[in-house]
Amino acid sequence: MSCFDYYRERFQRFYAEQAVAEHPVVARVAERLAVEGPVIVEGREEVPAADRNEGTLVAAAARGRVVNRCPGSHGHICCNYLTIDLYAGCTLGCSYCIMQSYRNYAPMVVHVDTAPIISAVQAVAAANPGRRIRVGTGQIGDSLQLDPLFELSRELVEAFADEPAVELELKTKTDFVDHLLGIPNVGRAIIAFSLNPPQIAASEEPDTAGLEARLAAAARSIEAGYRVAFHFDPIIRVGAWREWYGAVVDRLRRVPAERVAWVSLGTVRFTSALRETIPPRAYMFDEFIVSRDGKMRYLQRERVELYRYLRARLEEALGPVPVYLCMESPAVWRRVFSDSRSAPAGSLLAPLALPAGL
Amino acid sequence: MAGELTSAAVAMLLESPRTFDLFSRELEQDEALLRRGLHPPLLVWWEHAERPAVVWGWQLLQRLAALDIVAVPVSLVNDDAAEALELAIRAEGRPGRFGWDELSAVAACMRELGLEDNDPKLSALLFGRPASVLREVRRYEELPPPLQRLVASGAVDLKSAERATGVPEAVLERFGAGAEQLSFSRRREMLAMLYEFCVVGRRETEAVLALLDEVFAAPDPLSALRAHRYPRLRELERQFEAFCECYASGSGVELSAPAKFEGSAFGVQFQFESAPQLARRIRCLQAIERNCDELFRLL
Repeated sequence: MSCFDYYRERFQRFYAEQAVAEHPVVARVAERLAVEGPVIVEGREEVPAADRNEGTLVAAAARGRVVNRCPGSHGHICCNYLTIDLYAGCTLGCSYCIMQSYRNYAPMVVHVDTAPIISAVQAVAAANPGRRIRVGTGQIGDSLQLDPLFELSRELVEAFADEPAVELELKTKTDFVDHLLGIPNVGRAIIAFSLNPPQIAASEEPDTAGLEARLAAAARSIEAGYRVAFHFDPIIRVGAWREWYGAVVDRLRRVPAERVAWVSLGTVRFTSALRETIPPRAYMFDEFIVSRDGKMRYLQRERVELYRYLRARLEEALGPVPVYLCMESPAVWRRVFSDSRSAPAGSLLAPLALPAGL
Repeated sequence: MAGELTSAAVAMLLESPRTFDLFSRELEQDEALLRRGLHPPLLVWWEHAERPAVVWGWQLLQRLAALDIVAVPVSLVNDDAAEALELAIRAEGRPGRFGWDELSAVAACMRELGLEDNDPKLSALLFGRPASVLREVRRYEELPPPLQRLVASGAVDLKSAERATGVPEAVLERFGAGAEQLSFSRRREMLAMLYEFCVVGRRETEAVLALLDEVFAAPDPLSALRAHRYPRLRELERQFEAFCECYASGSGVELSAPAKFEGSAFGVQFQFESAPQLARRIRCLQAIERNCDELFRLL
């Protein structure tokens, strides 16, 4: 099934806010979806209650700051990532998704006007000379799930292609990369893939692309000039975790290490609100303790064991690629990276200055 | 006339509609006082019914009938149904302390009379907080019977009971019988863990029943259940206790681990009041130092 057939099956209604109604992307999407419309509304709040569901797409104007710091987690080390809310919402249905606990608007919202985003990122780069600006669109939605339809990532890739400090990361659990492969200059853009063993993905990531498809998409991305990144997040501690995750890492041996921008590791974690939202899953019947940020995590000793194992396997497979931990405590970082062979440089973790009025 | 005090025959009142027979609290008035008429008047609604309806005082009426008293003072209520119900609840005089059987009866009464569920006075009188009476009662009524019984008896709150939906009835019955000895918060935690065993962890009912028998026989049932739910954490605690026992017992040095073994630093604390005491503490610290790898392996 082509991704356009997928979209037509998935989305039955298309709304656009008045502010972006004339944006060329809106007309293009309506045509590709083969839906009547778009239906123009003043604001997304005016979408009728009957249509406020996952079958509805809303093209909207961004509100508030368009570039934000990753919220990180209190008492835990933040990787100093900046986020762009381009696509808000996701229908991939991952059982552990944190958005289930805080997102209170079911339709997927797409901020179609990239111009203010591009300006804001450029302003951050100008305010932080000599610093790497890691910025991504995958914080509150999958970067590429809707991208073949809207083609907004292309605008960002092209805009940042000549910005040597900006590392735009497009993070996905799909294999929807082909629309991005013909861009002549991709600069320092990175296409990133979340990875989990197929046995876990099959049960917990129902509508995502399979591991083989994601890795094939990674190979195509590299061939087209991108660097790639891999996110083992969330790592789920099942009985055979060494074998299952080890087998996934082994698949990365075919990836040219110099084209891997970074790999992140993060064990499954959840707030108490998310815990009540997640339907009963076998992996939830593990031993979780409350960390300093109030989130439930595996016992520290077990997290360290998982991270050390994966880090060692990654080093075997890829050599000294940068590996970092997502939302982990200083104690865990120290235990995992005591030799500092592949941890990101300290300067990378220093906070960036965000200019006022972005 | 509203508020008019008059007298009515007990026999006639006993035949009246039971629409407002809502409350089940035992009447504690002394029999001798009742025979002398020393009790509050009944509230009787006379406005729209062919016969008068006792709005409040059914328990009292039945006591008086049992004492062969033939007439009773009544206060007439001519307000509409909603206000009659409010008066009945006020007359009970125990806002926020109604049982779930009584709340169910109030909800049934509201449905029967077609009353709207938007009166903040009513919810304040019934629950002591703003709430939808019908929705709260529906939440209760949708619980399986063993959970309803736990909520009705005050053993657990409604929200905790809802979270335990899916726990087999046999487990809930066994829990209800054994949990009486526990404090409210411990019951709540224990019920949440039973949900995890039964629903999340999909343990067989028979296995959970055996587990409950075991933990209720333990001196501290909650700790015993926690040890089953968190065996690896318990093992870390056991190893730490063993370390303390081995290297610090009787030394006057108190060793502490980070909470749930999440963190990087252990603590020591001691006091001394003589040189030999201090020497003993220092020898203990030196023993801890020589063996501290055992401690750090716990983190």
